[in-house]
Amino acid sequence: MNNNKFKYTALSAAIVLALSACGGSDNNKNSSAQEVDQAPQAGVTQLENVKHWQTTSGPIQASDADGDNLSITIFDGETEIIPEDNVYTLSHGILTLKGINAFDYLSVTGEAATINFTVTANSKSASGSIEIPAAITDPLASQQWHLNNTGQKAYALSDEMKQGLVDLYVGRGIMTEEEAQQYWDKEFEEAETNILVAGEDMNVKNAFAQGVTGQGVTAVVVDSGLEIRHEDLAPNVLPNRSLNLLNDALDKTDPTSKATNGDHGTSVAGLIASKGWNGLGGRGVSPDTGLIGMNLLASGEKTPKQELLVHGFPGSGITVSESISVFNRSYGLTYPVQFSYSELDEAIESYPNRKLRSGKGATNVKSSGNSFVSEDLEGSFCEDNGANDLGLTCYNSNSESSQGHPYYFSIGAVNSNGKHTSYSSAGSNLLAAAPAGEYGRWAPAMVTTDPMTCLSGSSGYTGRTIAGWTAAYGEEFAASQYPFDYPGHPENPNCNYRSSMNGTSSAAPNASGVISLILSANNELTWRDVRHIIASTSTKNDAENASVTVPVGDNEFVAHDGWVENAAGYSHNNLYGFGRVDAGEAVKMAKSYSNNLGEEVITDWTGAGSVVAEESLEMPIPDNSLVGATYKVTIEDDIKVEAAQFKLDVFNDEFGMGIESGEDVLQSTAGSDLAIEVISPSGTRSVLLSSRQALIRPAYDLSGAGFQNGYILKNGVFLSNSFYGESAKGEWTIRVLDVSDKSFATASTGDIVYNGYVNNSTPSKLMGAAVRIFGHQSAE
Amino acid sequence: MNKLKIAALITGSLFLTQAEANDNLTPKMEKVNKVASFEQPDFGAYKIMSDHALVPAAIADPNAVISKKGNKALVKSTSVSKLFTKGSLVKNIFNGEIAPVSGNINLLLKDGASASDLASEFDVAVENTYDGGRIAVVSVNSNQDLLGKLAELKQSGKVVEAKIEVLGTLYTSR
Repeated sequence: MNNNKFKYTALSAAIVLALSACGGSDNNKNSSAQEVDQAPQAGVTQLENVKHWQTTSGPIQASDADGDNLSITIFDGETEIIPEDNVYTLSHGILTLKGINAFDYLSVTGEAATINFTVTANSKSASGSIEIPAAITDPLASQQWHLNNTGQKAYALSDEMKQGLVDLYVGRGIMTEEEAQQYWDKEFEEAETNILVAGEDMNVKNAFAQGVTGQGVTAVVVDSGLEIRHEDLAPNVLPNRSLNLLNDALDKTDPTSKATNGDHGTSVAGLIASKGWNGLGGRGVSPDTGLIGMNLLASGEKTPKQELLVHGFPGSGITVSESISVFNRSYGLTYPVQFSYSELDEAIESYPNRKLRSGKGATNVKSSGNSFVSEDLEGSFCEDNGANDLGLTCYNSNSESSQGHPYYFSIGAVNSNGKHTSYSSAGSNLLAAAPAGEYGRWAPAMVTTDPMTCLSGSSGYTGRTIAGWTAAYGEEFAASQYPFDYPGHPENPNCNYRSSMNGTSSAAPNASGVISLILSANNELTWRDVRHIIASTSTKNDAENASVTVPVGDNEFVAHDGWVENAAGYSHNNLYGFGRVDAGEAVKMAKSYSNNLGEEVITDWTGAGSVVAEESLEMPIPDNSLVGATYKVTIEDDIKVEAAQFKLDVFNDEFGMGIESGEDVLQSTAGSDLAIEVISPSGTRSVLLSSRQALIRPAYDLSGAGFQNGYILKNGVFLSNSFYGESAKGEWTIRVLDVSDKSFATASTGDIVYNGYVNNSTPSKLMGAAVRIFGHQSAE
Repeated sequence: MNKLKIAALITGSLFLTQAEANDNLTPKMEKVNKVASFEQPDFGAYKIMSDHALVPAAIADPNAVISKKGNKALVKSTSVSKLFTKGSLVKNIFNGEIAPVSGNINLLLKDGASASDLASEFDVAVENTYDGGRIAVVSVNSNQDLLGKLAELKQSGKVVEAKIEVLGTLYTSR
């Protein structure tokens, strides 16, 4: 409900006469005095407290003393606007007439404006106006492309940056000034054409226009810290509710980071809920949502039970009835192994979903990872095995245990052109994607909050990127490349904001903001309802995303399917999940939500072999062959799938910690060659493992003894969202393949220090496979 | 086995972190919390540092100090107790961080198992139970070996999974 007040000119008798005299016209001069049809009257409505992208209601000051029907004509300046279903699209906003005497106005540009109108009855007319003041806004919101993408640059591709590059090339004698100018003009033009695409956003404006701004719910930011006194966060920070988990913290309610080179959590928090319409900074996706910070990632000795506290267990201060919308988790553990699944972790990580919000459940939102191309650890492994050139993810977003269950929503990152970012890790577990951008130079990143002052934070002299560029190239060039983050930018004089935040760390809080809007719109929804809304309303971005095949002998294996529409009509893509979250559509669905998912049903693990404590299957996986090892599982119950888990053990006795060969240390390709696909009873295919992924060392058990020598996967669990809405009943086909016989050297060993990878001389073996379905009983 | 020819790096760009293809000017930044260890852990992600201790920096022998963390100093010492218990130090093999253990063990119990019964049977204290008793935190006293207790609890037949709690930072930001 929009409670904006309006004020309009009171129509006293004298004013009515005056308006009639000046605005009315009477062309029927032959009528008698008693029969004279009086002209309609119109006046001025003065709106107040108009907020950018929010709807303001008001009355049309128009009447006719004779009660004649009035018609109305709306003008934008001098131009008459033709409506569509009573909606007038103006140069500054959108006017929706609700009958002849009332309207809604949505400020799109935020500028002050006058809407002139004429009302007419019986050929007599009067003119009036709606006076709109400049909207209350946030000065940086116009650069926040993830909210409303107009093709803005968000301080990337700036004139300063281009001039800096020209000067650098000239100064180093690489080109003449004219050549350098031409060269960089062309580069910038190409970059701008490619990356700046209006409309590629989360449709947040539409959610605000529906009157939903995130009130009534709270987001918990589990991160490196949260500057609770930040000028654009403080209004939303719940007093004395944040936790500093460091043992030596003097104020346990203040998780403000002591780091001077940036605070990841403060930037994450700003994306969710920097305060809106306060004249400061930018705007969160859910700008009226409360904030609690917990500094799980802060370096130093922590308090006991930290893992429990950051999941809202008793002692965290979070009550079971509190309206926590989301725990944002822009962190992870990235290492080139498949981590074994942890049931203890699942029990802890699912606690918010199962217990909070009086049983309706809070959500966990997790960044999918930034290792599509590489981490430093594995060196050039994914370049050398072809993953980079093919466009396959180097690290699978399913590789952590926490990413393998539906209680964490895994979120990938997209760019300002709606396409995949250079870094966003992919996998069948992705629920959705959200904007995050690139690095803020050649492509927009996120404009968000940063620790205040130029003496700390990413923007400021000590920022990690600023300091690195300054050390490498000097102050002048560094300032030119990051003009907004470098001290002295007129729109960022105190360095309280930055334009360089990116990563799936940014995608996650943007999705968290949308979830906060959903639950603000309808707080009766369960965490599964939220999941359903995201699956149902997200945008199929990058609609032409192509499949990727890899050669296998004389055949091919489809390692990436692009978009796959399943039998229930849901489209899923391992790069994007169900697509980019759409705040407007999600809020719309939330407000009128009538779906009943019923009780959650979770099957037991159904399968065979070592993963269900039976004798190992020992099924050989032929080298470089599409034959693979196929295991079929039948599910008897007619469950409508919300998520499916697959647990696998795959063994190859050559897959240890590496083999010394002269001065080299070599590893088997058995991990790199491994691919897994699943076919549902309805015939939908999901690729769990594409091959050429960073499985460089044996599976790792964080609850046990660490590396599981010989095992590529040991209790390795992969989540797939590809089957959402389908029936689980019937035969599931799991096919495990080895799709290459190539050995290769590494150009860069990375920290892992394998000089090369040698094709496995013995086939890997499928030792066990099982399926577990999350869903609800089918109503049919 | 074929001897692999190891290609040398031919461009500097591979050293770059977060390099942008348009210009490859991004300077190499200092790496954060990444260690590639060949070490086998003693448990979970951790190697026990049985000859190290955290002591107040003010009283630490300057010659023995390896690093300082706030008002604590990490020292190598032969006089450190070899008993692995509350306060003992471990090293995270993924990020190299050294942190103490709390003395707690987090448990996921099997259906029908009770934390108090386990506590009595294995001489540990129940710190907390959650989620209808399914999740429990138990602690050892300072003369008990944590790894030994962990093994006993795992072998009890009443525990689905057990983890020693470390007061460090396992995850990194993305």
